[in-house]
Amino acid sequence: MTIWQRTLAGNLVVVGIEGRLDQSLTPELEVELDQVLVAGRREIIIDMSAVSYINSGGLRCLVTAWRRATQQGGRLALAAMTPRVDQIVSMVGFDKVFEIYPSPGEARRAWEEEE
Amino acid sequence: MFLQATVYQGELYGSTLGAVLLLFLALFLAALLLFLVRRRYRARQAEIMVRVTELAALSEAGRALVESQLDVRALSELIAAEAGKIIDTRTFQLGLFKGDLYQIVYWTVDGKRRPPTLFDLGDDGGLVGWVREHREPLLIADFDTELNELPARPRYLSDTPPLSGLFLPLISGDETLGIIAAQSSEPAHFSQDDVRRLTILANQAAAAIANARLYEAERTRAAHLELVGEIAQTVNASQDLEELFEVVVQQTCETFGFHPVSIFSVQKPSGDAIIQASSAGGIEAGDVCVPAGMGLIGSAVAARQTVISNNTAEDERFIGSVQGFPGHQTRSEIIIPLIVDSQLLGVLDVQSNVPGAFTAQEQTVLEALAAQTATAIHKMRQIATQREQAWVTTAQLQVADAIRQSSGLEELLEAITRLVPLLVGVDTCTILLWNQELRLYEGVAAHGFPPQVEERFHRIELPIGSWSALDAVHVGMMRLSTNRLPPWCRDAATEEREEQWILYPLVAKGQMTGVIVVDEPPPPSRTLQAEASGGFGERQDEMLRNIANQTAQAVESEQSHIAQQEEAWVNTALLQVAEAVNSLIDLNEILSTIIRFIPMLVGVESCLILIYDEETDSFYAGPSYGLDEMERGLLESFAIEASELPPMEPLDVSPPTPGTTIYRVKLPPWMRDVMGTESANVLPLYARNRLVGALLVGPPTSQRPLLGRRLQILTGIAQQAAIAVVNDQLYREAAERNQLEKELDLAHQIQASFIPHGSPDIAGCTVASFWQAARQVSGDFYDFLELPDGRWGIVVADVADKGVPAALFMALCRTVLRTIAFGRHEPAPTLERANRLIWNDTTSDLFVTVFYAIWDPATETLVYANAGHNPPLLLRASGKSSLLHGDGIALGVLESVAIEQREVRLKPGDLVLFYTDGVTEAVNEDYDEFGLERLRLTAAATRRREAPAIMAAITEALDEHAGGTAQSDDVTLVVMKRHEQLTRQSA
Repeated sequence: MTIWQRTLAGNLVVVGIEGRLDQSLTPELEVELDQVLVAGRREIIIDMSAVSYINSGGLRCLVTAWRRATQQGGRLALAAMTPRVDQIVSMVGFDKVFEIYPSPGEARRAWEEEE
Repeated sequence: MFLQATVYQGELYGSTLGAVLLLFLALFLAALLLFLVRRRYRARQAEIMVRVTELAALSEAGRALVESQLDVRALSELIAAEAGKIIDTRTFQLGLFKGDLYQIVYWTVDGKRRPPTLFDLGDDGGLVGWVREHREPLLIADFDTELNELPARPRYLSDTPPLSGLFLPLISGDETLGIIAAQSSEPAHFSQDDVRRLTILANQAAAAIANARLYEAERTRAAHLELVGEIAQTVNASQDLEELFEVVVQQTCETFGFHPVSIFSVQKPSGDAIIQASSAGGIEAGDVCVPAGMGLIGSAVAARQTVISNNTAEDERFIGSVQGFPGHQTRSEIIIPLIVDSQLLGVLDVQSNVPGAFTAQEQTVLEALAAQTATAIHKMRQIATQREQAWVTTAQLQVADAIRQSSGLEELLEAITRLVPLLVGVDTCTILLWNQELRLYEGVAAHGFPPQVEERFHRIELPIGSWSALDAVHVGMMRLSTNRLPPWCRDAATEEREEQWILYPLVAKGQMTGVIVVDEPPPPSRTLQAEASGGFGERQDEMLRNIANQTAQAVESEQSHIAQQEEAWVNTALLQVAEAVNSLIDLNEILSTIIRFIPMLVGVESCLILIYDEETDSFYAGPSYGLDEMERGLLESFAIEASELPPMEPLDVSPPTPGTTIYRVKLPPWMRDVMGTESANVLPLYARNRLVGALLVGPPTSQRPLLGRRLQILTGIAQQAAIAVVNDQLYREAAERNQLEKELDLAHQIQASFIPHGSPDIAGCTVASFWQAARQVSGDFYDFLELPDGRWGIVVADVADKGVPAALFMALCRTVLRTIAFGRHEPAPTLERANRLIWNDTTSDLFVTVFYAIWDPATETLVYANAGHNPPLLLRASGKSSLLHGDGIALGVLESVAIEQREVRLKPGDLVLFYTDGVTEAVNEDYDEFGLERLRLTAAATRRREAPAIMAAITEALDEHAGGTAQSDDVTLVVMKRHEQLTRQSA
């Protein structure tokens, strides 16, 4: 149950989450994303590959980060979601909110191509 | 012959006539004979008379001699007088032999007296020597004619040598005592008769002289021994050895007339002889040292026997003067070892400027004197030793007594510093004690210094490094001698002291507790006195070591006693504080009480409790001591940001007192004026791993750092204060929680009132609902909306997150939905519109998933739209099941959304389960979720029954699954069942 982040070139940062994204991990993720945003990095790729579950609180946390990033002219993508998480995200309709990529690398490439 | 002739004639003239004739003849002859005899008798009688007279005279002379003086000199006068009655004694001598010496005791030459004179007979004794040797008288009628016939050559002692002479030996027993001789310038002046008569006188004279000599010898001996006795008495009365030696040399000198007389001690083991006393002027004890084996003294020391030299000029061993010890006039010397119990103490050296001064008699007497002296020295040593022992014992007793009687440590040490100079004979004594807390030595007691020095001493503090000798003793725990002035004496006003100082460590249980410092007395002199007392320095040292030991023990026991008392006191003090804290409830009161204790228990000028506020990360002033109203007002009007107080560097406490943390901090400038100090000691108040405040302590009143007991007390008090603060916080938090709980209960009631009560009467259906919040308030809700034309709207929603914000958001969403739903009768437009309103309204990042369905009994259809919610489960009467999916998104995230609307026909017996994820994600203790499948199976198993029964079965299954595991999510469940009877009714 950890959260890690890897800063890439420019404002790009990959935040990885490992574990259940519910009340046990969400407060930590909140702090982490807050730090990333405060530090001015607005292009955030969340590596969801190791997230086994996400509840509404976890979604809210991601939405908050997404909203702040976009408000500052940045973006937030979810990458490499497991089927179950993908199902939850889709169910809530947030596949319309987040950019979703099969992997962080693809997210990055996509963004680089856009630029 | 004459008588024979007469007898012959008578026989010749025969018979009668012849007989007459014969008779006449006989008569004549008889008469003649008678005449002759008579004449002869007369002559003989005259001769006898002469002889008798002579004999009488001689015997009278002899008697006179025998009875006369027993003094040799007076006797010789008498002998000369008597001899004068017999011979011509105008040139006369009476001499006596003393070894090879010949002393003329009475001497007249041509009637003139000459003084007694001593001659060395040497190898050639002359006529005197011959007479002495042969013990025969010698009569010389004429020197000139007989010169060649004499048995020895005369040694003339006069310019006018005599012509005749007479020499008679004075014989007593086997010894020739002397000679009587007379000479004359006339030849044959002395006859054999003179020899005969003088011999008689000589024999008597010799006897008399022998007697006189014996008597004199005895008398001298007795006199000398008496003198020795007298000297011995004086010697025994001497108080010390110095006096004793002085008496011996002076008395010996005066009594026997020898000079100089000296006493030497013999050093061990060198064998050097050191002078102790001498009758020679200007010589002090120790001035002269005769190295071992040197001179006569060295010989005597080596041989441990009396050495006599009666002719030093020819004695190879004699070395003359030594180091200012005069010897050039010495002609005879006797050295007698002073030995007691085969122990050589020294030698008695007696010298004389006369050769041959030391005969057997002098030796006897002086040896007796030496023996007395040696005994006296020995006795005095024994006495000194006993006195020493008694002194040591007394001193130890005194010290022990002082230690026992002293009521406090300082008094005790004062007593010891007073005793040490008395007992050991030093001038000063000081005691410094080691302060373990401050790691320095403190002057505690001093004696023998001027008042200003003692005053300075009592204030002195000597950390390691301030006096190298002290450092060395501290580390080595060994006695040390130094010539460096102790720091308290280093002052221009103090007269320069040249002496050595000795430091004795006070060691108890292997720890340094202090030192005793004394000034070292001058080194012991090379006197027998010093030796007699067994080396005074050693005694002192032993004594001081002993005192140091006793003192160290006493200090240690006193200190541990004090430590125990202090500990008890600390405990009592802290107990008092604890009692006060426990008996009070109000935090301010408790802290005020604690603050009042601090100056009493620790002795500081000011102190202040700061209470930490976590939210603002600031300290607020609590109760204080030692601050005036204005300062307090100033403090209270400001919050002190935590950043103002650090850096809190731990105070360098070495060794750190265990369990205590004290920091020294530099105060912010405005606080310096308030606290009256630039930096303060701060004890952070920690309780339950939380910083709850700080205790600021101003400068100690005693100028001593806050260490040891005081630090312990402070720490104890700080802990109590921390507990008081945290208890108060907990109490308040509990009260707040209580309040919040009440408020939440109220919120729950309010929220519950939003939730439909009971089940609405929906045409063609039965419905049942279940709603359970994980906490007091919930983000889930459901609603039944009675729409026109008998339609019913059914809402199931789930607000992201939980708690009060979710509950408030839920209230908002419910209101919005209701408002819109009653205006628009289509689910999708209703949700789209609601989204817009919610998105506008909310500044929070909350969103809500909503499933909104409208049941139209007329068409038997369920029209629905899903805004990101869990799709309800449709369980057909046939047993088939499906989920009511619909494209949509949770409300409140995007400004505008498009939501798909679908519809489904519900046949009799069909069952729809609306739920939130709290149902499907209810977990058991293994985190195994209840899941959609269990929900389906449970519902399927009971699908023939009415909605309430189905719902009861599901909640029962949920409970069973969770098994008491606390659920984190709200649970909402709505069961809608199409009437089974519809076909029968329609039929």
